[in-house]
Amino acid sequence: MSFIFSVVVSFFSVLRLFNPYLLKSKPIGNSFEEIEPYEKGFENHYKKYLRDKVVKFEEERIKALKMARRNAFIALPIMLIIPFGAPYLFSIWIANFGNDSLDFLFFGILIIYSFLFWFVTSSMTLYQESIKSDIFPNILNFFGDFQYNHETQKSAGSFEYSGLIPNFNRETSEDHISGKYKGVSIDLFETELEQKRRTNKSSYYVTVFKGILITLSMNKKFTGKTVVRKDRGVIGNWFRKTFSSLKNVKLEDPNFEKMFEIYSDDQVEARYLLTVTFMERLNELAEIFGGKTIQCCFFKTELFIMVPLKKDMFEPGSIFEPEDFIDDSKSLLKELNLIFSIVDILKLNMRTNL
Amino acid sequence: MEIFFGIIILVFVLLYFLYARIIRNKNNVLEALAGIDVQLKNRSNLIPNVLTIAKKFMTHEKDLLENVTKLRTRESEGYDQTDPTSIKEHISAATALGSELGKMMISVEAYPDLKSDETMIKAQLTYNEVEAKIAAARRFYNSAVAQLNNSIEIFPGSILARYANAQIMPFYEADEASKQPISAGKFL
Repeated sequence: MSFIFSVVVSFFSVLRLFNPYLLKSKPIGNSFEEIEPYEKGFENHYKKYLRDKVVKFEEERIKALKMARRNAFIALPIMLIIPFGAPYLFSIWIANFGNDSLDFLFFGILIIYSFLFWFVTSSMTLYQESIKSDIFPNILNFFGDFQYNHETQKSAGSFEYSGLIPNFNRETSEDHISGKYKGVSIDLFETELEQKRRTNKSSYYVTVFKGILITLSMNKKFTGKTVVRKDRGVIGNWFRKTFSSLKNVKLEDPNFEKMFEIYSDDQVEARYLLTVTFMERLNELAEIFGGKTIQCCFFKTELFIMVPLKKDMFEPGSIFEPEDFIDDSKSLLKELNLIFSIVDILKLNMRTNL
Repeated sequence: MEIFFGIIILVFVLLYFLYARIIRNKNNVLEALAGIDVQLKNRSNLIPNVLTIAKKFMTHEKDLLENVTKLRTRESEGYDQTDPTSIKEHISAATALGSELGKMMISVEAYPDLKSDETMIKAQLTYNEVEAKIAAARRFYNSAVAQLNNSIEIFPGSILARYANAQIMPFYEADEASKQPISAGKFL
């Protein structure tokens, strides 16, 4: 369903290229208005690191759109001819190769469409990637020593020790951010994990997790492993209890117990970490992230958190709007503030117990 | 006849599961009690160092310091882990020591030289950490005790408990001082 939705959205974005007013550069305000508390001080940062780049990037944006429009003029007729010529193509194919090999024809058509779509949108994608690689680091350095990389070498597989990562066969990871906030090292990246499923005839992929994986350094070393995972109902929890090397931890907060299941190999440490206040904070955090259940694992000196999300984070604004980096900055500041709220709400910067 | 034997077997299987649950709960309580003892031992080990520093500065708190020493000795005495009365006494000694230590840590505030002493600052941080761990161990113990007591107070657990040699265990409750509402006036 989401694939069909993204195809429709992509098709409409190609159609937008034919808007006659699209390539006209509009006057740009070039001033950042500080509205939210976390935006305080960004106006000066914007003037210092971003404003000078606006003209150059606006030119690049228009250039990318021009190229995309030119390529769309070439690709669109081919895209439209294929459905009209399809019945004729099918009859020739069936006459020569029979019904059995029709899959190859569908696959071939899909490849042609994918190529044409790439041909049209590649210049726009390159432009948006340049925003990520050249502009995002300049927005992030507002928070101090923060690094951003569009691509990442990190893999969800390295967190399998937590027992939280679902089985997956394909992984798409991007947007690696690392830095320090209030003395707590933060390392995060966005990932989508997919599992291969098979039917009699073909195979397909199902998304088993989409969101961000966060590692936070703690100011203490844990002796055991404590895992806070989504409550999976009576049967799911029974399977976990039976086949896990960790023991189930029963806590006092009934609201917390409804949402989460706790497993640990150190019952005392689990309760030391998951104090009543910490449980309240984790519930609060779950609400901030749209009510989705956050899962986490305390192990060695790190707290690993899995935050499921419906939409992508750390994405640049629309290429169809004039460039001034204000929307990019606002959205990135908002998203980073959300990540920082994990440290603030869970009070991970404090040296005493949680 | 077959149904009758079937029912008998079923009853025995159920009784066995209940018996096994009581044993499991009893062992959980012992495990939790051991967890408490580990943390109490950590606190006990910390006391001589704290007292050595405190004695240099807190000359007017002689009684309090002596009381801490006495209670430490009382808490360190051995006890029977299977006897609820003995456990209750042990818990009560630990609670009393915790309460006196708490008082001592508050008294430190009145001695600026002691309060700013580097070793005392470290000792206070460790003390807070140890107290938090004792609280966690207490939560584990109380949860294990609640499970055990429920399983042996409800029929047929009440009968099976005799065969499993399980008894009602006392809860580890916070000391009376920490249950009292805090009056801000005392600290102003």
